Amino acid sequence: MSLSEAQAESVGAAPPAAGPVHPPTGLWRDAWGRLRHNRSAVVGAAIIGLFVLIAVFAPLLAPEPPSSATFLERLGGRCCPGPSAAHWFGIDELGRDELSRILYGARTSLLIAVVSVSVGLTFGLLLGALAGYLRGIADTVVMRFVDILLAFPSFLFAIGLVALLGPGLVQIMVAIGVVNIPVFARLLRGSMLAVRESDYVLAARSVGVPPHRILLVHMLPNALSPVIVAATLAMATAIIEAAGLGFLGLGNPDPSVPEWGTMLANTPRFLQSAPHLAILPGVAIVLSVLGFNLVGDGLREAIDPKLRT
Amino acid sequence: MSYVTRRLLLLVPILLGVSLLVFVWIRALPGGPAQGLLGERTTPEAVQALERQYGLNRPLYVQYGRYLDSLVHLQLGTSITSRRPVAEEIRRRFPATAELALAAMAVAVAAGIPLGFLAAKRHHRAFDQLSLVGSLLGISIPVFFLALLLKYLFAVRLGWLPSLGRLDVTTDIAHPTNFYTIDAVLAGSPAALLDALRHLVLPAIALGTIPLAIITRITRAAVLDVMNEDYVRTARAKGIARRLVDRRHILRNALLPVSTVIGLQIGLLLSGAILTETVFAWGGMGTWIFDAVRFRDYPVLQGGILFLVIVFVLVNLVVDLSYALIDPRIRYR
Amino acid sequence: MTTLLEVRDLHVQFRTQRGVTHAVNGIDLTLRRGETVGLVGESGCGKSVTALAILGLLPAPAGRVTGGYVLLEGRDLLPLDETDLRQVRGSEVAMVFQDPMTSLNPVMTIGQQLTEVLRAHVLPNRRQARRRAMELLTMVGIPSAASRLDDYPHQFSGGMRQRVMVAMAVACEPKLLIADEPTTALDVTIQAQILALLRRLVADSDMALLLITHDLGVVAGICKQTNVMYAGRIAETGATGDLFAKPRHPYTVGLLRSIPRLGGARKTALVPIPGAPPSLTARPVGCPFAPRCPRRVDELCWRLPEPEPVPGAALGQLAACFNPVPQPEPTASRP
Repeated sequence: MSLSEAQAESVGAAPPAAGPVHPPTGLWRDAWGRLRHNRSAVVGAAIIGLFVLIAVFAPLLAPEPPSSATFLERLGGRCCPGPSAAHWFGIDELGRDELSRILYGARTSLLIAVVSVSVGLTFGLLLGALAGYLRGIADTVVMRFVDILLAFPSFLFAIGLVALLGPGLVQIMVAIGVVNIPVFARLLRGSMLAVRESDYVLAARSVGVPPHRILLVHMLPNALSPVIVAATLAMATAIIEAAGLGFLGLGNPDPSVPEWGTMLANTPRFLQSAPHLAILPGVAIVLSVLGFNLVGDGLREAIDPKLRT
Repeated sequence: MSYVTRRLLLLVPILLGVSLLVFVWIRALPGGPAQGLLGERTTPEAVQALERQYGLNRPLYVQYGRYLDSLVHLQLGTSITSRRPVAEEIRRRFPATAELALAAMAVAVAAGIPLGFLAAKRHHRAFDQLSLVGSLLGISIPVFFLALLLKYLFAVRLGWLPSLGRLDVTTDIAHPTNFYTIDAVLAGSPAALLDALRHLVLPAIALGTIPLAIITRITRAAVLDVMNEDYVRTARAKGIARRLVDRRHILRNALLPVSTVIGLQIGLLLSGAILTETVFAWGGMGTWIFDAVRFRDYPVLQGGILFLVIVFVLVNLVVDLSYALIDPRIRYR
Repeated sequence: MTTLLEVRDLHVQFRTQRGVTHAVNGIDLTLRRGETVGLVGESGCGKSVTALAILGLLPAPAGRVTGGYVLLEGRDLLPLDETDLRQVRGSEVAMVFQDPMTSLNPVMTIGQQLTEVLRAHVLPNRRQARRRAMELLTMVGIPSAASRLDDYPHQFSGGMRQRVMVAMAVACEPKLLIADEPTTALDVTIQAQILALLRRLVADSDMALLLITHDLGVVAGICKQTNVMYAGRIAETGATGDLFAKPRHPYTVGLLRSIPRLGGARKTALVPIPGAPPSLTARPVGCPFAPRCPRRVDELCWRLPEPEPVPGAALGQLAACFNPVPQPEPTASRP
């Protein structure tokens, strides 16, 4: 008997009437209930919510437009004035208001995260489900290809794709999305195979549940739960990777679409005179990434209560 | 067929596939290689002449065949920008990246496993909560931002550590291995060793923080898992010393998942190295390949990326094999 | 025979997310030197918790002993700290667990795990410990023991692993062996082999055995004394023969009736006990068996019954019942 059983034994086979009564619930409603009581998930969701609001209302919130040729004049040869009453976060090396650019930058980062993860998820799931469901040669071919793609360190892979596709917002989203495809494909295939051999699927099959119902009702919801967690965490990674590309100067060249990583790209030169330019966009990245990581962790614990520690 | 043989055989299709992908990728890059080399103001004749010289006008499968042949003979060509053989550049630059990555991994493993273990042993107490928050922050911070912060704080503001490069310009030693710490030891110069280490500290911490956070989390979770195993209760029932229970029964089993994760970190390290090297002007593979992408230096891309990927694949192989070493169940499967 | 182990008024609680569980609520147990005693009950009755509590192995920090004594040769084990307890575990009191598939460390060889306990208590020398480990494997009936010392648990069958567990437990010749459901996870034929092994080991030494099981058949074959547990309390205790022939507690009667037996009277059908054991989230007030009891007396069962001698029962037979069964039930006449 394991220790957890010992605890279970001590709790005893309580009759349904005794103890706090839980209404019968499904997998997802159960998970939702646990999620709402998970402190880190709630904090993470609040952070994400805040950034979504900032992204949506950036034109209203930002004191100035993100860029204009006229801003350069107000530098007056000094680089770069730090926080002041007029510019809470200071101004950057081109005289632009740093706060406005960070607020607008939330749009770029969230857009990249959502679109790239959707791209990776869609194609990854198609490939993974195909391999996991068909098995045989299709499975082998797909998974060998996935193995080869995964042999590339992911960020190197993304750099290579951006080099291929050229600079631009869409190209970055595609590049980061494509890097995610093999990850999701392998994940879904693995969990499909695990679920397919599980006792409850065998049980469903043995009592004659039709195959499409087994796939939809028994296999997919269970196979998908790890994918949902991974997708949330992939949002965090996407923000970091997009910022990394921007930092290397591979980001969107359009100055009217600020991006946090790109904003950091020139700052090593101004580290002495204008540290706020290096710190503030970075804090924005860390906060938004933290939000997705917190929600991802909370989701994982909510979906799989066994993992709760 | 043994686990090791199977694992080695699996390497062949992966390496072939990787080389083919790199080959196709380079041919698909916008602007041909000759164009990239000669710049925008060139004549079609000059381009053709160059393509003939490099065999770029032959059919693709012939080019791929010649490419594979040259790979097998370790002839990686000459860099278009630096005019130096790619193999020689790799010999010079890979040790820099390896030194940085190894130092970062050493930081991550040496701190991460004890931290995760202690956090699990103090489950639900302050130290545990602190480790959770800390590791969450650790995985949420982009490596280049952390590098910038460290550089600003310890190099620019406090001036404790150097901010750029691998050695002071005044430090002059021979570089037989290009691992500067080893070179310093070989040269018998404590001052040079100290100098190399001082340059290594900030980049290694920046690059090691994410793996450190991940290893701490995984170790903590694995130890919590293993602590509830029946065999740990058996060990306690045998009345052996607590440190033996911790070491032989809990830690050894908890290290199984941790070692897999350490293997997965290698890719992260190589990716992070590109960014870290940029911030600290560390003359390794990362900055080199990145420049090659910008200047369309085809031989460098071909040789450099392939080399990095092969290193990545081989390191993962070593990790898998060492996994078999600690888990007897895999050896005999 | 002198008293070896005396458990007096033991209370164990578990603090879980759903509140406190009263797993063991004041039980008494006595084992004399070399004696084999059974502890029987349904899963959840607290029998395994009792065993873990004796050796201080309750899962911390959820489980803790909240009252009572565990006297080993007159010395109370409960107040001992970890260092002192370690001297007792494996050397004076050893334990065999239920599931041999999970109770052995998968990454250590059998030899390492066997010598570990020997070196901790009696044989610090590595070579001597290894030789003794080989003898022990042979003793528990593992063929070609010398070559199997360097094998890993996954290379053994379930029955063989349980033999290894037994070898590990008896390695330092403990005064008391606690076997917690040692056969439950095994095939029926293997069960008999392990029980025979335990019986032989007890017979060949002056080791006492506390056998914990839900299987009355196991108890009947091997135990001199039997304790029946229900809801963290002792329901009935006595010599095994008396208990099986003339059970006085309605719960014991129910247990005996609900087991199938070969060659029994065909006419008597199996009679399950209606209902389920109570949840132990509250300290029991009144007789815990009352809700399922066919002999319930409503005026009495609001009180907690203590195990007491029953009129007309054999010497030493105690039942915690206000309305004990007067006649031996016909179906339960054969132990």
